[in-house]
Amino acid sequence: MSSTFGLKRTRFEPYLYLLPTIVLILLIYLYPVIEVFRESFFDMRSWPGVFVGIRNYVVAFRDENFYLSLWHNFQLLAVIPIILVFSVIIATILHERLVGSQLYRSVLFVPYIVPLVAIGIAFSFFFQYSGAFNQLLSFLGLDFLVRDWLGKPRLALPVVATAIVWRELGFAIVLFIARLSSVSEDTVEASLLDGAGWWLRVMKIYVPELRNVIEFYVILSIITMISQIFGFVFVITSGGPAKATWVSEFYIYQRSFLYNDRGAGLVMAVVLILMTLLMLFASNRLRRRIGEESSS
Amino acid sequence: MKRTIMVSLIVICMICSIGPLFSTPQGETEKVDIRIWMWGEVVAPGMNDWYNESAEIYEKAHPNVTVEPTEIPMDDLQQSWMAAVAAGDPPDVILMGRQEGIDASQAGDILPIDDFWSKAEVDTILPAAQRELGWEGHVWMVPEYMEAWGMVYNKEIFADVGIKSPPKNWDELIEMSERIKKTGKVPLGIGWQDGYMSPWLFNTIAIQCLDDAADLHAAVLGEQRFVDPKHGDWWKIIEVMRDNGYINKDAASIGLGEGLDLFYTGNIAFGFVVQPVAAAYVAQMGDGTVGAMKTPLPPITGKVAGSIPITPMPLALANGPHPDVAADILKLLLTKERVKALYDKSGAMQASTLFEPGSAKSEVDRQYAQWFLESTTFTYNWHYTPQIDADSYGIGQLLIVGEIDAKEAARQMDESAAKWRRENPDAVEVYRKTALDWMQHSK
Repeated sequence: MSSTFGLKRTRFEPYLYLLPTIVLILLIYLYPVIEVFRESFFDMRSWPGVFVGIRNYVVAFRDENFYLSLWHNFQLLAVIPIILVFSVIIATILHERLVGSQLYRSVLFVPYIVPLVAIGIAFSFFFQYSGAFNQLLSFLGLDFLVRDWLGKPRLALPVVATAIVWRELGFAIVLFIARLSSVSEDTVEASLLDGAGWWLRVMKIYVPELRNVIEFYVILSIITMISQIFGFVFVITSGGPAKATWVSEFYIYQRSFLYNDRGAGLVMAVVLILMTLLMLFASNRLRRRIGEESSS
Repeated sequence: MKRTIMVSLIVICMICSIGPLFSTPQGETEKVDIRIWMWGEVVAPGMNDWYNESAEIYEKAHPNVTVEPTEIPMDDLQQSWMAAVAAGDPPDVILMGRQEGIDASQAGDILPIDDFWSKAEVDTILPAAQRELGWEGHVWMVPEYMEAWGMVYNKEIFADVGIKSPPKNWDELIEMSERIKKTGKVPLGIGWQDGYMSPWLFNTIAIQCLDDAADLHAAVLGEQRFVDPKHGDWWKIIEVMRDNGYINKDAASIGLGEGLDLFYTGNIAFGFVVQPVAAAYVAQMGDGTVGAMKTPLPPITGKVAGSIPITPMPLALANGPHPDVAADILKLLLTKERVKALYDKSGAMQASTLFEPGSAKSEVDRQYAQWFLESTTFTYNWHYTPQIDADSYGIGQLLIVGEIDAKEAARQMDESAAKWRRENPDAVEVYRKTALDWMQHSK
């Protein structure tokens, strides 16, 4: 067997072709992660840092603010079932050829492609004490509902959650519609002949068909809620009032750059990376299972 | 052969040794790029223009030098600096706070300016500013411009309610606020959503309760307490203003900048300012509407009371490849001509003896220039730690929305300081050293 250049082809040859890409990927993706792990054992107030053993870990794990931030991340997980319920309902309605469904699909997807910062700014203006939402409430004669939505600690996190739902809904709908398009029309028609109503079709046909995609979406959403909502918090509330909307990413930023304590910040980043990796592992297993099920 | 080699070596050595005598001085022909990182226009609009003009002047006089001022958002500047240092490519000049400067000097990332400037040149910086910008027997940084802390009032609203002169203490201000509120105007306009209002109030109200920065150092180190009346009672002023509805209702949901902009509406009687902001108000609303006042005295006062706190926004000299050239550019920025140009372009005064009070363009600025001559003092939030600073943002927010009272605010400040001491034993020692240094410098 000979290769293109007349060299004897070995079983290692394909790996040689892949080597440059593998090296590049390792450099770009793996090296920073390894650095985060390494530097978490250093006092990084100045470069290149001073080795301090596990001191940063002790500080980070004793820091109640870190747990508070993680707790806020977990509270935000509550938006996932909300998104799921709304997106499944809307996806099934659009799937069943509602008049103008193409237009609705596009409109519902728009929030997902609008830059996060723009959404954040819009929400912060909308929910300010003198913002449009309170003005709308006053206009409707509902003055008793007027609140300082961003100023009150108990209300600020729900405002952030609202922004997340508003943005993420479009993606979930598009994902579910894509899966629903492969549902056998015969099954749906048979259920119609049997007199099944919309709700019965949703519960007995669509939801079971969507099960795997829903599971996949839930894992993706958990990753998002744990490690990708800094943008929402930073723009809408700046973490405030007080610590009411601190989430883990925000606190890592705060600890590293505002407290000028990168060591403890890096430990928290390590924890976040490990949690995300765990979710990715679960997601990969799930994807494999979906693949196996669809091929069988 | 051996002889030929020996002769050749001797000739090479001779050429090498006399070569430098014929070369031009280093820095004159070598191409030098100097990068300046700052946050420019946020407080003093026109600052970028001043930087660019200064760069042009320097480049014209030194054709081999390129000066590149870059504006970086305030929140990103410190992390950009840290990333640049980590990457081994820091800018040559960087705007940073005093505590960040102390950390950078400990790490050897910045150099003291008095290694490059003569004593006479250093002494053009106002003494109070030199004190703020120095530690360990050196002056480390130079002022980019000066923020002087105080308040403004709306003369038209005062006239409407028959107030003749600004309040001297908070009791008077509270009494005036009641009269102002009855007219439908808002006595005090602020924005606390981003938290920056907390350090502003430390720099205007809390500072007046102290005798010196050493009091604050003692509280940070746990030798005094933030719950002591000297450190904690001033929060009651905000509590009273809040409870009586003397502060704008949306204070907790708008940021510092939006809070400052409220004064332009003409519906706000009092506002906290730094001098360049007051200058901007005058430029838009006129001397007839805007009046400058010192921050009223709190019930407990220390020796600082009545002095104007000044913040000489510090430019530090990075330990880069051309600190001599960078230091030379900083000299240009603080020449008499550039000091005047800074004021003309941005309305910001310089912490320099070369600033001529007579050049002040408005009544408000003349007032500030007069106060500078009388007495200036330190910047409160430069003398605690970044962690306490960041925590104070949230504490102030909780107070303003009514979640906590003044006593709890003071307790949380105390807790923040204790937490910092617990988590940062090394940093505590560095802090203690600079605190001692401050006291010795004071003597």
